Amino acid sequence: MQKIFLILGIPLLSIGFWLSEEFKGIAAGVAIFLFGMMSLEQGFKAFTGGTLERILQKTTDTRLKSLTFGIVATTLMQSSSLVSIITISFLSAGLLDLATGIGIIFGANLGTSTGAWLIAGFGLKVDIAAYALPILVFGILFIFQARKKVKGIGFILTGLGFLFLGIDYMKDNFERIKETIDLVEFAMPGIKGLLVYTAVGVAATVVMQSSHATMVLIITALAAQQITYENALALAVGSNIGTTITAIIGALGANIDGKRLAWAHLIFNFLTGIVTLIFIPYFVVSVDWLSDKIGINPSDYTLKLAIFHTLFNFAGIALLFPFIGYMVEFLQRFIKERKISIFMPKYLNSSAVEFPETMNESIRLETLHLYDNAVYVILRTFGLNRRDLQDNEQLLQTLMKQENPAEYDIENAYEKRIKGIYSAIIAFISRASFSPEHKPTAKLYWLRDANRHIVEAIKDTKHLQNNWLHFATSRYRYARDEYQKIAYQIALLIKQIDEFMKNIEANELPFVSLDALKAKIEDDDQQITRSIETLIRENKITAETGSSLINDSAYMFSIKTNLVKAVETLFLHNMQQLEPEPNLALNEAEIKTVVETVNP
Amino acid sequence: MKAKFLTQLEHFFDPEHKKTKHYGKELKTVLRKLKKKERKLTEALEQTTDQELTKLYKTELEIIRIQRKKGLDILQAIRKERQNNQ
Repeated sequence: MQKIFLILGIPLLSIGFWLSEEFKGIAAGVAIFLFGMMSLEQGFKAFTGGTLERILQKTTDTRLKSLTFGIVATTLMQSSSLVSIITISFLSAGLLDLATGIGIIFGANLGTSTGAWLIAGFGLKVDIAAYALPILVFGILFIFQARKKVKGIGFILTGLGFLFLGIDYMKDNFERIKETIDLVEFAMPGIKGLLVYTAVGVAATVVMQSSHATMVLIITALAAQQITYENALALAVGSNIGTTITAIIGALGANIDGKRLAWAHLIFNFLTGIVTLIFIPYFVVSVDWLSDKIGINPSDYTLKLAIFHTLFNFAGIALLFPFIGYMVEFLQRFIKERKISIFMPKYLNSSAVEFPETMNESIRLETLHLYDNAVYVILRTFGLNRRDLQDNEQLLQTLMKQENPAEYDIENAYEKRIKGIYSAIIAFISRASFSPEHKPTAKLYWLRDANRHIVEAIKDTKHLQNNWLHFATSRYRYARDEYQKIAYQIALLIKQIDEFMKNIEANELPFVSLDALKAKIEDDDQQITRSIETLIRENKITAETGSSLINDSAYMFSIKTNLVKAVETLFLHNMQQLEPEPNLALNEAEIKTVVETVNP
Repeated sequence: MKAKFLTQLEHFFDPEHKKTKHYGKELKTVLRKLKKKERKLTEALEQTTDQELTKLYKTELEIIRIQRKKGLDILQAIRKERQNNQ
């Protein structure tokens, strides 16, 4: 969606800039205003992480309080989008419940109308550009300070400065446009105008992702008499609906309650918009009546627009606030959490617990199932599949050809492929340990260890992933080669373990093969460390890259060692007939000696 | 003569002794297999020119050498224990 806006936006704006100086000024005003809002957001973020949370918890324990919080927070921050995004993130973090979140969103809608009041009552009547420049200077001065909160104040001031400057640009250029073109010619009366201008308001807010910016545009255009009052009302309703797009985008990465809140926001603003459009004549009459009561000049349409904005949002709250509970129920029923298809244990069943041998074997088979899933996750992290392991040359080519490897969601993969099985195995072993039919044996502990090694290997892969993604396709050839080597060696070891498992029955001396695998891991580790040291010495990589490589080669070593240990337990500690052989297997120091003897 | 018979009888009823004997027997089989594999690997090492394979064979030979040494040590310890018990 954003790409489409970009592709269409750049040529359209360029044509607009070429055709009209005023258009360029208005667009620049909008851009400066949006930049100001971004800066304001950045500033308020400096105060999250303690203070804001404490205030939030204290001030939102009832629905009425949450509504008030929404109004006050939006009035202070002058951004309903920021308040909704923060609310969604708090909801996702479990700091708020959905009903409270909805209350805040309702309040934020009313709070946003204070922006309309400020612009209509203050922004257009005072030369705000005169304030903008000193505020900007002080803001930047504060930004250069080291303390986070002072920096935050700096961003808030800079944000305000840019907001004022943006408003001034828009105001000026609408004034100038009046001298050349009369946009009022495009005014549309009646229902058609109402619908068209509502749609324009929605579109403008979706593009700018700020109802505030749209409101400023509407008010400045109205002040310059470039749009009619009637059309401005429709635009305001449209902008109120369009503003929900920010919350919807923000909720994409949120949990299910965050998504429900974004929908609640859309439902509220949409229903409020529809009701307002249906009853617009009554709203107009009410606005006139209120203006008269508070002494606003009947021709001051900008302030009347601000009243209208407050009134219809207030009406929306009055209409929907009593139904928050039903809304929560409705959202919970219709927006359901998508269950991820989790890999479940295949071999663990309660009847297996009754006999020690069946139990050991079912845990062993389940651990093998877990091992298979773990290998899948590790290979996918490096953009590989099991079939890539068939030919070593092909494997190397596949790794080298990866130009932009997609980031594999290893956390999701862990949840999906590992956690369910691993938890079931651990629960099964714990049950067995306390079963009267079964005394815990060494085998159970080994099997638990094997599982732990498998999970450790996944965790190490996760640690390795970031730098792998960064360096594996980097233009720095030497670093890239080393990272490709790391992935290649891990994949090769998986292949060797596969072969070992396939030939386990035929292999007369499996501990020799296993010790050879361990020696290979040790040898690879020593070689890669030497290679990194040489690269640093010869200035082919920086010391920083070198330290990353050393850390990551340690992860590689750990992944490989954990996989081999898991397989050792699964196949060798489990075979009683091999009793003398495990006693002959080499320990770590002996493996090191072997490697040093072979590579003097 | 009588003492030897009694010792044999004692061993016959002693499960630990039985286990050790079985273990020793198994160990001898493993050591024989290791020796056989060592011979095969030495031949293969002489014939290959491939660097990777040379390294692999050398590594496996070194592993076998250490494993055999460990095995022989254990066997010797078993024998010594047996002699002490007699």
